Amino acid sequence: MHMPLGRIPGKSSKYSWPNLKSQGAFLLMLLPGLIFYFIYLYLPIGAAILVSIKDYGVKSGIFKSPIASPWYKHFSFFIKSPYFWPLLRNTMLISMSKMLLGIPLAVMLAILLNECRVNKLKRAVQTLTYMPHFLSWVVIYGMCFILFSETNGLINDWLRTLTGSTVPFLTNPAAFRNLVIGSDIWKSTGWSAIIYLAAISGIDPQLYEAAYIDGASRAKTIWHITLPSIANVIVLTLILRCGTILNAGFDQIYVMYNEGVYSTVDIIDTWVFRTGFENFNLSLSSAVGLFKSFVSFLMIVTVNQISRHWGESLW
Amino acid sequence: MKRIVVLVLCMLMMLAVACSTPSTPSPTQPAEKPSAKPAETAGTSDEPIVINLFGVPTTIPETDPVIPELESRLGIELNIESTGGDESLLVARLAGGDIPDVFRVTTISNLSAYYKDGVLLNLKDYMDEMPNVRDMFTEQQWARVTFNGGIYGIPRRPEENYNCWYIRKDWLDALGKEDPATFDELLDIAVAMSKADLDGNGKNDTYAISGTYGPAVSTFGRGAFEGFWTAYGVTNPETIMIKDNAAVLSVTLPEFRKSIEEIRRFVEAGVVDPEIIANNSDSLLEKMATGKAGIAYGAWSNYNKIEQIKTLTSVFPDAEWVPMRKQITTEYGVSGATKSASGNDAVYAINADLVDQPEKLDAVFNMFNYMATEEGDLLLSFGIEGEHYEIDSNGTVKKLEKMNELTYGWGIQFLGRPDMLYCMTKFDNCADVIEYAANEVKVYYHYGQLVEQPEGINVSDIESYILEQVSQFIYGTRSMNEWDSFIDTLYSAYSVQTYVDAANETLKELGYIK
Repeated sequence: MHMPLGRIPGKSSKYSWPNLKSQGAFLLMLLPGLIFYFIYLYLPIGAAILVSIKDYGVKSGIFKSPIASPWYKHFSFFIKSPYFWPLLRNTMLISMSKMLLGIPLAVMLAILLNECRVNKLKRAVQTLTYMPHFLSWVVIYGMCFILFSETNGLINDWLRTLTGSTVPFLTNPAAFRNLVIGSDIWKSTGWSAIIYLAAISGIDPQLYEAAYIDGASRAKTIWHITLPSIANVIVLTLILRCGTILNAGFDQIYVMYNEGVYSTVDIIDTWVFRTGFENFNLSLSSAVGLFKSFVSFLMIVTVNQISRHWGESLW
Repeated sequence: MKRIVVLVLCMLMMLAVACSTPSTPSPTQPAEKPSAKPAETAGTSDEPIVINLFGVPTTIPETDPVIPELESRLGIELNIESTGGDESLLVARLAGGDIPDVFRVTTISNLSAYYKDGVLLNLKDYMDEMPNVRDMFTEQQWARVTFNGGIYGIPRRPEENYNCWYIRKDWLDALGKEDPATFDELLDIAVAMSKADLDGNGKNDTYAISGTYGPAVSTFGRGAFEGFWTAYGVTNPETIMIKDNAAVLSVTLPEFRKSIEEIRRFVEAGVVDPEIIANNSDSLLEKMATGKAGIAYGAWSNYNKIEQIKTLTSVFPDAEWVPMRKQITTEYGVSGATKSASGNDAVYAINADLVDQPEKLDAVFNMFNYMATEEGDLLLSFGIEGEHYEIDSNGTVKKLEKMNELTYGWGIQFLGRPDMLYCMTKFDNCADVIEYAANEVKVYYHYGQLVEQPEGINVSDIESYILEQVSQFIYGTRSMNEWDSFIDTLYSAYSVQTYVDAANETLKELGYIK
């Protein structure tokens, strides 16, 4: 069966309707997905925009609630507020650290696993490293408490015996931020290594054979074959992560933080939750959510532009 | 070929439809009752009216006999959803426009927000339908659920004070010391406790003073520093208190700064648990049980119930956690307890839309009215007569063994309870502590919960900022030299004055300020 997919040479650059018709079955198959996206992702965007420029009231609903005066009231309230910069800084710092430390570690783990010649060990390590991905943050916080607590945690117990002093991992703002970043990396590295491992397994073995014949060492093959071959995947994950740069991990931080460490780990999402859902200020939190999406959108476009210089991009 | 494509397509579509049908109810949706009532299936006219009751703070076990008894006495069916007191679940319901018939609101400031939104039924005109409820509460208790002349919630009877300092009596005896009356004596004891290695594990890991840290409304009688603040005549840092007939923010008072300097003295001596801000109720109890702490401030209901005593003596069978019977005094005040003047903040509110369902509305009023009768009050407070309690010849309530099973009782005491009688009956093992805390410990009231949030400021942000900064001053992450600049920031960046002005206005209206 012949089905023309995409542009047909010689025709005008625009898709013509008869052409679409011949792809009807495929388009129909696309429909459920499109409907899903429309209802669950595009309609909420519209609703969020409306709610954020109105003084949303539950009783009057989205359409009948009065428009805030001025319409940008909630945006300016947030941007002028004293916590705007701290929130933005915390969010960016945590998110960037998770990304910039997490991706190289995952790539390294994937390469190490790939180079491992003992199959049983490789499998065991891989299973052990991606296991934490399936633990909930509540459990991980419990583990952190057992390990890092200053009064009865294992690590501080050792420190006390060895050095006589303790480190306030859970209550010192700076130490706690590192704990947040560290525990996230511990949880996600094994899981994110899977995609790089898949990319590595797609590399043509002939390249390695040729390099081996030419006398390249293990390190050289990693540097000159493995890494360049998976560079596009690394860039791709980087771009995708940049799109969610303002998601610094709500579920993790909401479970782990306490009043003492707000200064370094209170992020936009936790603030939005406290303001919107605990204090019933839905318009303000919608406005902040929208602001977040806007920044994410700018980020993804910018990073995509930059990565074009390396010939890797989403579009 | 085309047919196959169409066939595959149809199958895919069916799969998509099947996948998008919600198969499991969300956690907030009510669990289906195990058995449908006969009246319901019969579909006759006298089937019970179903009332959706949202936000009960405790999980009610399936074996609970009290609610079914209430249902059968009133001829209604209660569809109860527990939230563990998590207000965000209610907000999610309201935001979705799915308003329950009756719901629990945890704070007055949220109640006022819902009132402004028109979600709540004005009970003013219906007071005659619930005469018992009307008579149960004082004018001031009604005043806090009154907005703009209308009544928008059913208050809850306040509880007595439960809080005081607790200390390991066996350690105190081992050190040959007595209950302290000043902070110098307390420091002396605390230093001795942390140095002496009384838990005998050979490690210098006892910190003497522990507790939890957080907003006044959520430390639930475990706030580590409340004993320090009250001794200086101030309440929790983020709260509004009345001083010299004017509303002030506690943290801005010079006495508050003095109390922090006092706490610093203890922190510098190394006798304060460095992790108080990360503690929760479980980790605190564990520390108290494992000999990591010897002094804790808090409620008897957290440390003195039979099961808690069991936990606290699980590691050291001789451990004896008892209240300090002396109050620590300074020139500014005497150590006591802080309490919200709004009493018990949580109130029940009724959906304004019920006006269109007069039958159901009647049933709701009837239910609350019954809860306020002596019969209803006994049922919700103590359980079923003959099973959970009995009344002796003098007319006093006597506890039966089964009452101990009603551990979730406080969650279904919708209008509160006759607190003294209730505690003394149910927790008879700690009667003397209950009386001591209620009668001899001074209570310092705070009023922030009564104040509506003024336009243009976010009170919860002010509160979190204060709590975060105060914790940094306590543990020395920030130097006390910067205290004044911290207070300045509160006024300049967080517009605290607007909040205090609003508080003054409201408290004058309510008669707290002359």
